[in-house]
Amino acid sequence: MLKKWTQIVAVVLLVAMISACGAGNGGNGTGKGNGSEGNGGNGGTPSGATDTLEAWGETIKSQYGGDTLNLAFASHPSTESFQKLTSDFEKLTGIKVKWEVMEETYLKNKQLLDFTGKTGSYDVLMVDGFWMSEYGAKKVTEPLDAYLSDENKTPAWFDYEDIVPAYRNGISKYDGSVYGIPTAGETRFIAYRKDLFDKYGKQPPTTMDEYLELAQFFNGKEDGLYGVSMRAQRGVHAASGLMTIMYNFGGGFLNQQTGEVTMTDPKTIEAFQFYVDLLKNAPKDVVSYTHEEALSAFMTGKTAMWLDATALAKRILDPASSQVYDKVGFAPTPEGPGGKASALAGWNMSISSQSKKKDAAWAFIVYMNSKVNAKAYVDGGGVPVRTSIYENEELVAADPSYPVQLAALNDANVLVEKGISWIPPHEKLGQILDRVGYYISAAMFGEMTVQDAAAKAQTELEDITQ
Amino acid sequence: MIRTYFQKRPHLIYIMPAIIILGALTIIPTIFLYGLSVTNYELGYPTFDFVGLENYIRLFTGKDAEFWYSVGISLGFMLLATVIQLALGFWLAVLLDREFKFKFLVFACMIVPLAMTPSITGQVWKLMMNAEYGVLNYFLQFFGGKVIWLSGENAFWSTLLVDIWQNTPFVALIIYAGMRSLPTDPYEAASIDGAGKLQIFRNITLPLLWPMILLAVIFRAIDSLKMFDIPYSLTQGGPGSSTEFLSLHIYRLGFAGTGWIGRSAAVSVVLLILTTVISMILIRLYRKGVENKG
Repeated sequence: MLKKWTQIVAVVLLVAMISACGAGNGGNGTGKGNGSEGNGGNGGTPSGATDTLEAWGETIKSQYGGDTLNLAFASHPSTESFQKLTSDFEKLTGIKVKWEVMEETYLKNKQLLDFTGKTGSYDVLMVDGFWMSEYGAKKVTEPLDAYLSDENKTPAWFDYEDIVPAYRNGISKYDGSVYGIPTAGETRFIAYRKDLFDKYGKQPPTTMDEYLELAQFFNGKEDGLYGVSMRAQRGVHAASGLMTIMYNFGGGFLNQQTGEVTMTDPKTIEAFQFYVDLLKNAPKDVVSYTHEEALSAFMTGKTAMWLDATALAKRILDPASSQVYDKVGFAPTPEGPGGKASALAGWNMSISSQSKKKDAAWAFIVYMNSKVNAKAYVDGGGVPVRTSIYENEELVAADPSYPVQLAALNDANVLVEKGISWIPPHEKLGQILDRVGYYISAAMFGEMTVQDAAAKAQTELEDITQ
Repeated sequence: MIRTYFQKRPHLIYIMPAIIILGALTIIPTIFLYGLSVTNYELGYPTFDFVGLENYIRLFTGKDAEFWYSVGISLGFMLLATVIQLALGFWLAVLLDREFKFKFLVFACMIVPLAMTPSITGQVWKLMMNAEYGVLNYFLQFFGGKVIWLSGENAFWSTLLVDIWQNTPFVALIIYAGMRSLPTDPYEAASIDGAGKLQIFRNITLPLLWPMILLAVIFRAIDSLKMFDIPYSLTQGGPGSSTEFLSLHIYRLGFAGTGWIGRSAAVSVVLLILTTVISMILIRLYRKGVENKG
C-alpha cells in the first residue's frame, strides 16, 4: 500500500518537473500561450528596419507581439504620464502592459522580496537612484550597456546622449555600468514667498548664512508663520534632507575615493549642526515630515521658504493644489563654505535580471524614454530629464522654474566634475541612510548633541561598511 | 503496516490534522526563525554566513541603540494599556449590569471598535489627530486648546489612547458576561448577614470574577505587547523612535530599507521569549484563580 503511494507521488512529481522545465525553455509547443517564442536570451536580436518609429514598431510587433510585460512602479507624476502613453505603445507593438503602482517604501520591499523569492514576476522595474548601487551589487537589475550599444535594439531616435549628463552619470550607474535609463530627475532648490520677502524688504538667499538668517527672521514674524520647511522624517528622509545642504559645506557620509566613513569630519559636523539649527525654524512637527508634508506646509502658506525637489515645483505653481501659486519665487541651493553644489536624484527604468522577456522589456523602455516621445511625456505631467526639453522655448514659457532648474543642474554638475556622486555610491546605502537618519532625528529631538550623534553614526557606519 | 499503527493509536487520527497544520504554520517557521537569527542573512544577497550569537551580542551590549528603548516602551505600553483597559472595562461592565432603555444601542456602539480592523483604526485616528485639520483639534479649539497629537512627546500617549478606544469594549464585554453568570445565592446570604455594598463587592464579586478578569488580562497583555498594526498605520514608529515598539523595530530592521533579516530574526526571538514568559506567568495565575474558585 505505502509503496504504491510512494511510486505514484514520485511519478506525479517527475511529470510536474518535466513540464515545468519545458515551459521555462519555451517553444516546445505545449507551453502556455503567451511568451512562448522569443523569450530570454535565446530570443535573438531584432533584425528588421528600426530607423523610424513606425518601422521599429512593425519589427517589434513581428517579434514580441502578444507578450505581456509586468511592471512594478512607484506612484509618481512620471508614472502617471507613462500610463497615458501606454495605449499607443500597445497599439504600435502588440505588447501588452500590466501596471502595478505602489508607494515607494513598499515598492522596494516588493521588488526585493520578489527577487529573493526568484519568482521573476516583474519585467520592468522603476528604480530610485538611491537604490542603484544596492540593486547593481545584488544583481537585481540587468546591465544595459549591451542593449545601448546594439543599434538594432536601440535606434538612433532614442538618443541616449540627449539625457542630461549629470543624470546619466549620477543616478543610473553602478561600478561603471549602466543599470537604468533616467526617467525623472530632480535636483533641489529654494522656493520662497515673494510677497513676504517684498513686505520686509528681503532678498532671496545666496549663501547658507543668509539662508539661516532669513529662516530665523521669518520664523514667528507673522501669526502661524514658520521660517522654512524641509523633509526631516527619521530615516532615509532625514538623511536625504541633510544631504541637500551637506555638500555645500564640503562634507559627506563617506569619502568617495577611499571609502572611509567621514561622519566626524568637521565639515560634515558643521553641515549637520546647520541642518539641526535651520529646522528649529520649521513647524514643530517637522521631525515627522517627508517631502509631502514639507511641501504642503509651504503650499498652505505656513512657511516662508522651502528647500526641496525641483520635481515638486509643478505642484506649487498649480492653483488647484496650492494657496501660494502666484506669490512664489525660486532660487538655486545657496552657496556654502564648501562652494556650490546641488542635489541630484531621480528615478530610472530598469530591466529585472529575472525577467523572461528582456527584449520586449527593453522595447518598452526605448519607446517610453525616447526623444521622440519626450514632449508628450512632459505634457502628460512627466518630469524632464532631457536637455532638449529644458531648452524647449514653449515649455520654458509654461513653467518659469525651468531656468532655475537648469542653473541648479549646473550646480549639480559641479559635484560630478569634482568626481563626487551626490548619492553616495555604496551597495549598503540603504542601511547607511537609515542609520544616519536615525541619529539626525535623535539630534533634532535634543536626545544627544550633534557631536555625539555624529560620533555614534561614525561607529555604526564603520561597522556597516567594513 | 500504517493501518495497524493507527489502529493501535486511534487518538492520533483525531489530533493529526491539528498537529500537521500547527506544525506547518507555526513550529517549522519558528525553528526557521531560530536558524535565521544566528546568520547574517540580508535581503537580496544569495549567500549568508553563520555568525553564531553575534546578533544577540549586538542587542545586549547596546550596539543596537534602539533595542532597549523599544523593549522599554513595549513593556510600558503593555502595562499601561492593560491596567487602564481593565479599569475602564470593569467600570463599563458595572454600568451595563442593570436594566435601562436602549441597552442594545450601547452594545452596538461597543461592538464597533471591536469589529474594526486595527490598521483601519490607525488610519481613521491619524486623520482625526492631524494637528492642522483633524477633527479632534477642531473641537478642542472651541475651548481654546490645540494639541500636536502625533508629535514626539505625544505620539506614545496618542497610540495608547487609540488602543484603549479599540480594546476597552472587549474587556468590558468579557467582564460583563462574567457578572451575568454569577450565582445569586451568595449575594442573598450576604445581604441577610447585613454586609455593605463595598464588602459585597470586595468579598463576593471580585473573587468570583477573578478568573474572568485574569482571562481578559491575558488576552490584552499579550496582544498589546506584540501590537503592530495601530502604530504602523498611525505613526510608522515615529517621530524619532517615540513609538517604535519591538514589533515595529523588527519590521524596520528586516524590511524598510535596511534588509537585515538576521538581526531582525534575533529581535523576533527576544520578543517571542518575552511573550512566552509573560503569558506563562499569567496562565499560571489564571489556573490558580480557577482552582480557588472551585
